[in-house]
Amino acid sequence: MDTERTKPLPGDFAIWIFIFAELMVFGVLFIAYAVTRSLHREEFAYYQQFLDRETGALNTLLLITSSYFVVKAVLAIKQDKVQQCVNGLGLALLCGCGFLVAKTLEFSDKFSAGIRLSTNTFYMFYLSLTFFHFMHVILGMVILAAILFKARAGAYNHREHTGVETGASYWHMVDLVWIILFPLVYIIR
Amino acid sequence: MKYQSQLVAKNYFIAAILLFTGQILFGLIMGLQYVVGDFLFPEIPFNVARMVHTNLLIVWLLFAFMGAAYFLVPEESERELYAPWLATLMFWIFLIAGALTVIGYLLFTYSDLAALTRNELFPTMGREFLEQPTITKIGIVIVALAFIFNIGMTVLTGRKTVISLVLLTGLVGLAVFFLFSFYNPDNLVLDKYYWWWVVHLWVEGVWELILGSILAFVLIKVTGVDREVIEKWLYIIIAMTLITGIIGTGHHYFWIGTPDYWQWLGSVFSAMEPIPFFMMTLFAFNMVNKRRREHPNKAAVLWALGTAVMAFLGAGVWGFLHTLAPVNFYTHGTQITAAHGHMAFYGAYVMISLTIISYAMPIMRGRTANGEKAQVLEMWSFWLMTIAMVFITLFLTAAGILQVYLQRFTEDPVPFMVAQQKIEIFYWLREFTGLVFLIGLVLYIYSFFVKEENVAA
Amino acid sequence: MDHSVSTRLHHSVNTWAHQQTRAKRIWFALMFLTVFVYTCGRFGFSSQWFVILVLASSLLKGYWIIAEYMGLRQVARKWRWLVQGWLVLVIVLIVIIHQL
Repeated sequence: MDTERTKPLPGDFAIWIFIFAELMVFGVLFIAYAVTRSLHREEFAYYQQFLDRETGALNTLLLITSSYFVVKAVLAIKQDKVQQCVNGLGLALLCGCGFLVAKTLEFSDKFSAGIRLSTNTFYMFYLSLTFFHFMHVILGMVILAAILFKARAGAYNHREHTGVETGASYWHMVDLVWIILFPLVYIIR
Repeated sequence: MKYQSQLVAKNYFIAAILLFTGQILFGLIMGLQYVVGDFLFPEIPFNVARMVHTNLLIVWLLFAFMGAAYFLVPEESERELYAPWLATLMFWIFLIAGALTVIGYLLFTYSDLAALTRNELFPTMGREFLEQPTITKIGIVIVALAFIFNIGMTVLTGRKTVISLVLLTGLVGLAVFFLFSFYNPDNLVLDKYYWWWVVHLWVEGVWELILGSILAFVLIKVTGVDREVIEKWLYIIIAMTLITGIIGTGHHYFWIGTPDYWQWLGSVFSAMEPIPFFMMTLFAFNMVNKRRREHPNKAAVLWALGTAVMAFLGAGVWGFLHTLAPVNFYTHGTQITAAHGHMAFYGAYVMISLTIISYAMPIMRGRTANGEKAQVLEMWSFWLMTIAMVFITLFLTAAGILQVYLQRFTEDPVPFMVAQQKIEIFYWLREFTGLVFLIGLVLYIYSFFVKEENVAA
Repeated sequence: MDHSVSTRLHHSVNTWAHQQTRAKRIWFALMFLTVFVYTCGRFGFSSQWFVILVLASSLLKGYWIIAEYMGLRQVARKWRWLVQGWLVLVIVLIVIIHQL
């Protein structure tokens, strides 16, 4: 039965300390955004109109899908299916690349419109929150890529796959944060 | 000691402790000048005493870090130092250049020193912490390059460990950020903007890498816990440090003419800066609790644990106290800053230096640990200095709170000097605890000279 | 082959297939919720209720990611509560601040 709740945290315990710290950082940033928004309602609502929700929604789908592939990769390595694990990680990375491309286009669009951190408070939050998350996607992808290469070299099997779980946990955190960030900054007015 | 070339560290450590003593003496002179304004005037004016106090701090910490690197890198890399002679040569160059600079501060009026060293050719002088004549700064760069070359070659041609790589990254960062001391634009805001990159991106960025790796090294040695466990913690602490510290340095950009958004970025990210320090505390205590052996050097273990706690208190808690922009609006540049500065430098960087010295010196003198008597003395010095520093911080904090209230917060604020007069009592108390600190330091030095029979080799 | 080993193997493969299916269902659900909320937004709902709907869907999605994808469903309760507590706290605070 899978209702037993006795397993240790998946992956390395140290990554969880890191994940908790990261969640705290994002949590504080989200609340800071919400408070500032409530103080400048009109300004925020006005500039929110110019954000690109289509790519935002697409990016949500991409991150969810990549998380799904990572789950498949973890399940595969538990059955010693190395090739499936590698494929899962590869597809997850592909989705990650898609995210980065869409986001880069969005940023370059904003930059070419002359929008900077100092343009106004809304854009300051928009740029710093999304860019901070963007950097996390890159970091997560670096970790996934490292695991992919190790998996391909045969470093993991059904007994020893802590590394895969470690990277997976971090990647899901990046996904989780976006699940809140996207509606908060792009949708709610 | 595993490698002969580790011995070059000894000179560095001795110099560090001597300069540390000088720093404390000038601190005491200056502490007294806070209340007796003309003490030692005109021989040592307040601004000179302050300059010597802060410059000696930076220089002796650099000596200690270099010594630490020369000691631990051969052991980590499992090979002799790439060029021990270069390390010794650089030691003398650095020491003589440092001594000449301090003598220059004391013998000449600052403007004469600037003229004497031809500052007008390439002006870099006259900024806090960066008062050194340009020629000294160039000397520092040369010493740093030779040092990093030496350490880098040793690391890259030997066994690569997380500890040595993190240490090397920290040292390279230290050197790179120092280069900004040569950038001295006319625009005051721009000047300040980059000025913060030198000492302050050190202390809340790259120096934390150095601190983390030295602490990890000592903990591996004294606890016998698996290297993998310790390295894992080190990775996470370093990542958290860089995520929070680099943007967090924006908390220096409040109210100096930089764009508004720094108030947000600086507040939020620097508010997270206590996290890596807290993780360091957890790390040190966890490792010591999981220890696989009882290392005879109890004093070194005490220093290591002390570092973890005091760094969190001084850098983490006292930093957080005034890091949020709305709070900093009132506390900017008051005695609150001085309180934070004292405990953070002592808790993080002084104590880690004393930790590695405490661990390495007995080994370099041919024994695993000092004898009972010397260790008891050293532990006394630990408590005296640490408790004195806690009280110095508390008195300065009290002075700061009162100063903020009188000078900035109340309905009818009083001028700076009037406020200073009203907080005099705290300056006296601080000076008195400073003397206790000096007693601790004297005991510390004396502990090196205790003669003992039957010391374990 | 030893009978008990083969049963155990069969059982584990079964659980594995079950976990696969489960992960796929969660993925469908996550995709559906995203598209659904997006469509609602497209058709111009922008009342207070829409805000609640959006955040509720985030809450549900976050819950699934934590419990299923991160795998905290099988982990000691304190850890799961820590992460899900974060999720609930952040979303509740956002709602409260939004209503102010």
